[in-house]
Amino acid sequence: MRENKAQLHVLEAVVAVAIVFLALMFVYQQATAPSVSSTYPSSQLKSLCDDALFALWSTPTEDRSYGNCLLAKLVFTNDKEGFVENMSGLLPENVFYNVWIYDGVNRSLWYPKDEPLTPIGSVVVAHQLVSNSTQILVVEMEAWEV
Amino acid sequence: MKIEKVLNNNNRFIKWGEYRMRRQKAQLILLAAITIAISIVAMSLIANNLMNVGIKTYKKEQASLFRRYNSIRSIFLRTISSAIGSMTYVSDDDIYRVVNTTRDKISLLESRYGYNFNVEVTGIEKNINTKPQTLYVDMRMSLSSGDSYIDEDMSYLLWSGNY
Repeated sequence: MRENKAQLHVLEAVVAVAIVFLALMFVYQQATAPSVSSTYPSSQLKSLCDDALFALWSTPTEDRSYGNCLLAKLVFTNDKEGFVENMSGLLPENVFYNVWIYDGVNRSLWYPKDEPLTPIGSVVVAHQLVSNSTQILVVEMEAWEV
Repeated sequence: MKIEKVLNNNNRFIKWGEYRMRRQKAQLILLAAITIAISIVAMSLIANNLMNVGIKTYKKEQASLFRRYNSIRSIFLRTISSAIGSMTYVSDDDIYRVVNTTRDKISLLESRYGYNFNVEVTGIEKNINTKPQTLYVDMRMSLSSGDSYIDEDMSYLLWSGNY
């Protein structure tokens, strides 16, 4: 008799704990409000920069030159203003970046012209290959947000 | 008479005791069943959540790799076409050299960012008796990053024309 009663109490306790746990889980899932933030986690910022470079890479040029790739045209014609103008439509205003060109041996600053901006906080790196008839280069974008 | 009454009372007590025992056993079984059911539901909910997170991450990584693969593939093919197209005579060695040089260059550039790019020539088909004459190169191309992997067997038309 007593043994049965003890088993019943143990089981009741287990069920009670399980019910409370499930209820808490349910309430937590329902009550967590979507966070609204103007800053991105670094993985999201990286995706954003990768997307921006890919969008420029897949945009056709007006004269179909440089393999019909706008990013390649901007880089090989050294059109930094065009690059910034196009990027401003793809990245939020609070995202800043340096652009480097890597050819497999040397990595040189492409934008800004003279000195790289000093990054604040965590930096993400996005990249995209570009080519003309003779060269294959990597456009490397170092980005961060303030 | 008195003895019968005592015996009857005893019987009633015994029956009452048996009834309580049975009731408690039934309650025990019921509670055990409820515990098992709740455990199964909780475990399936947790497993489902974990699986969804895993699938979403995997799909995102795979989509990102697929997009990168397409851009690398496009640049690779354009580069080898351009190099071969500028030659007046193309030998098998030339094809191997152009493919391997381009592959090594892209592979070096991409390895800096954690991507492994590889291309192997699996065959060369020269059709000189057809009009136009064609030159196909068969390749196996692959790109991997972390746990994500893409590969493709392709037969690429490298050149077509008439001599």
